Formats: sequence, C-alpha cells, structure tokens
Amino acid sequence: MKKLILVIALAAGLSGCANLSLLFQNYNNPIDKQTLYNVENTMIVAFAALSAYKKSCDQGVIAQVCKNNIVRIRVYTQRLPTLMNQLRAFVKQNDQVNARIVYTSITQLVSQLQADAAAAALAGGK
Amino acid sequence: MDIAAIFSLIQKGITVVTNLLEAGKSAAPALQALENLIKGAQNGKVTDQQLADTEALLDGMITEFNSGDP
Repeated sequence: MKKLILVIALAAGLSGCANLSLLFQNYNNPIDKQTLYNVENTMIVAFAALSAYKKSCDQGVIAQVCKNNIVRIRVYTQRLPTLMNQLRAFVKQNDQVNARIVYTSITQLVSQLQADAAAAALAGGK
Repeated sequence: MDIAAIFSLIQKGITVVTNLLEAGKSAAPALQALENLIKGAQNGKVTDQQLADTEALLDGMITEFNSGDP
C-alpha cells in the first residue's frame, strides 16, 4: 500500500508543478518576486515527492523499474538548475521580457516531465 | 496574481504531504513550502531573505535528486 501511495504522491506533486502555468494566466501580470517565490515553493513540493520516490527506489522498497523512471525524469530535472538561475536573475533585475521567456520554458519543461514521469511511475511503480 | 491558481497548488500540495506522511516519508520541506504558499497568498509580500532561503532549499533538493546512481 505504501508503494502505491508513494506513486500517487509523485503524480500529485508533479501535476501540481505542471499547474505553474496557471500562476501566469494574465499576460499583463508581472513575474515578480512573489511569483518567483510561489514557483520555488511549488517546485519544492514536487521535489519532496520526487525525493521520496528516489529514496524508496534506492532502498529497494518499490519496483526496480523505478531506476529507469528516475533516469527518464532526470532528463528534465537536470535542466532545471540553469533555468531557475536564469529566472531568478531576470526577476531580480526586473527584466520582464526575458523572465517571461524563461518562465515559459520552465512551465513547458515541467509539463513534459509530469506527463512522462507520471505515466512511467504509474505504469511501473505498483 | 491568480489566487485560484495558488489555492489549486496548495490543494495538490496537501495531497502530496498527506501521501508522504502515510508512506512514512519526510514531509517537512513540503509542509514548509505549503506554509509559504499560504502566507504568500495572504500577505502578497516576500522578503529577500525568505526568497533566498526557499531558493537554497530548492537547489539542495534538485541537486540531491540529480545525484547518485538511480
């Protein structure tokens, strides 16, 4: 049962992260420090689920297909540090044009991650 | 700022936290993030220190996930 709960937590965390685009529905809203703060905290929730999934995988608690799933997810998570640093810099400089571009890239990346990882985890994590 | 979107994120976050606790996993970072989201929705103002602390936490979690052999 705990294994299934972990998979559900992972899916929920990633789907919440994929909803980052909802934070910026109005094109005229600035990507300010508060928005950045919300993005960061949302991603912390998602990574809490990812971390739990990885630790369970490392401990052999869940099906070992999880190793393949983590490799697939890392294709996306390894791109995040660069994008997050760019977003942070542009927000702090109040460079709205570039902040918007990077923010869009992040939301698209997370959406791709969510779709790929949730399907893989749910298919093989039970 | 889209308050409805914030609440949607908080709702999903609560699901994650609940599931983590039920699975016997640490939910402290997620709980703190949820608290930050809720307070942010109420106050709408974040300090530079709060932002820096959150960034450091997220960076650590990303690094941890991306490290080691799967």
